[in-house]
Amino acid sequence: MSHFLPVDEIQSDLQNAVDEFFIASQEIRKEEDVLEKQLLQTLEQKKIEAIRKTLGTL
Amino acid sequence: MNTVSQENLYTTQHGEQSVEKLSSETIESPQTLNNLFSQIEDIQRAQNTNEKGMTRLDEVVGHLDVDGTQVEEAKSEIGFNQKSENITKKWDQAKRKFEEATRKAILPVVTALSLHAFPGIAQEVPTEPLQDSVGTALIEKSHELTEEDVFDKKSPLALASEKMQSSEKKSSEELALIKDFSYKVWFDNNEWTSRSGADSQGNPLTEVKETGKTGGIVMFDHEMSQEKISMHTHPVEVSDMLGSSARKIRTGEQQPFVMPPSATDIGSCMSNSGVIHRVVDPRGVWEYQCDTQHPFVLKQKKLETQLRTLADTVKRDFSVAPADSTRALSSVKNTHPSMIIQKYFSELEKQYPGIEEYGNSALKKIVQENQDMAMRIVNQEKLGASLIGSSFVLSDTELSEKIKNYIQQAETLGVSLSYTPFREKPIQKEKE
Repeated sequence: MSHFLPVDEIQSDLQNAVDEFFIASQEIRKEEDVLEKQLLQTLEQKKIEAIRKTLGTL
Repeated sequence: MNTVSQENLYTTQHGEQSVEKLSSETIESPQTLNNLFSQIEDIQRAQNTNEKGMTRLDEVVGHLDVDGTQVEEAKSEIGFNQKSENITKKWDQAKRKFEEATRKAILPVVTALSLHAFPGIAQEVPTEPLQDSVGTALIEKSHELTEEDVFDKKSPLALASEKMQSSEKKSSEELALIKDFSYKVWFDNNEWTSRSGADSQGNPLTEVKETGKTGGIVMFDHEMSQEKISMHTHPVEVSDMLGSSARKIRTGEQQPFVMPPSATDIGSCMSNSGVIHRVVDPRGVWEYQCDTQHPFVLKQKKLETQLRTLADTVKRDFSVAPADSTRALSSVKNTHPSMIIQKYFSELEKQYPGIEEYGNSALKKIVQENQDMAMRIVNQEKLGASLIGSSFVLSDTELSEKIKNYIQQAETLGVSLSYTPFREKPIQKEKE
């Protein structure tokens, strides 16, 4: 049994797996950022409204 | 360990020879591969620690000084939980895809390293018939090799037969094995069979193979020497991979090259650690042995046990009839050794629905557990393969350094290697 493994192919497949994961992870991180900003903006808005309410009752 | 003469170690003595330029890809630095492995480890580490962008959200929310009710209200307004769940699903999907792809890529490495885990498969299934290859000669303990021994001299079969006739120690079982092997080689369309391992008494066999259109024979240790030696040649019908054939070397169309033991050979060495292994390539002889107590070798043994248990469990759970197993085995004979187990499951699937998924699922777990080991083997294999191309483009000194590097790397896997180039340049024949 003396056959070399197709190391170039294995390397290429592994590299593709890494590249695809990086691309996918960048997309997912973008979505996370958008959602995060959305939540923070909503919270900030709520905070501002709460302050306005407080000021309005003074 | 019986080392072949140390005097010539690392030093080729062929003198100047014309150089055939190969593409730089064939001598690519393994550094690229190391970087790739680091990236894979980084990804897996990040996944294990759940390192995601959203983890900093709590901290930021804390700075806003809002209470839990307000946070929940805000989340509800924007459908946060649903969106967050979708994102988590996407992470899981990306992770699964990555793991699947890496497993698929390294699976042949894991199985190649442990072919002996499948004695019913690996040892019974013949490899492809040889068309052209470098011949080997009988190598005895004290015999100093020359190139002439490797390329054409007296037929190894004839030499082996002489020894067989002179031996009075053989049991009938031993004779049966020899006859069986000879039959395969000589009468079954010149089929080449690798027959290494142990005889019925558990004694390791010495392999002696002549290649090309002649054939080969297996001999037992006590007939050859006091030591247990397993030997084969490189290349062994690898012309498709190399783009050249052993015949071209013989006729001078192709310069001889260095071709070290493969991952499969190293795995085989680890499985038969009491045996001295030799690979005869067109420029010299590799000799190697494995340290039975080395952590890497111990891990390989564990892997072998895992795979053996897997094969047995799958057969038992699906009540595979021996005849069906044999039939499946005969269908995988042209498969690369490292893919035999998957192909075997695939063949059985025709009669035992579900067995392929069941077997492969269990195989995946084993592959994942042994990923680090597989990557180190890929690295070693890459170094080994690069020696072939390097043989054409590097000076003898540079090539010796690369060989030395390959040997040093192998030591980290528990493999002691030496390389002894032939004393003289191969005698090449006229073009046939």
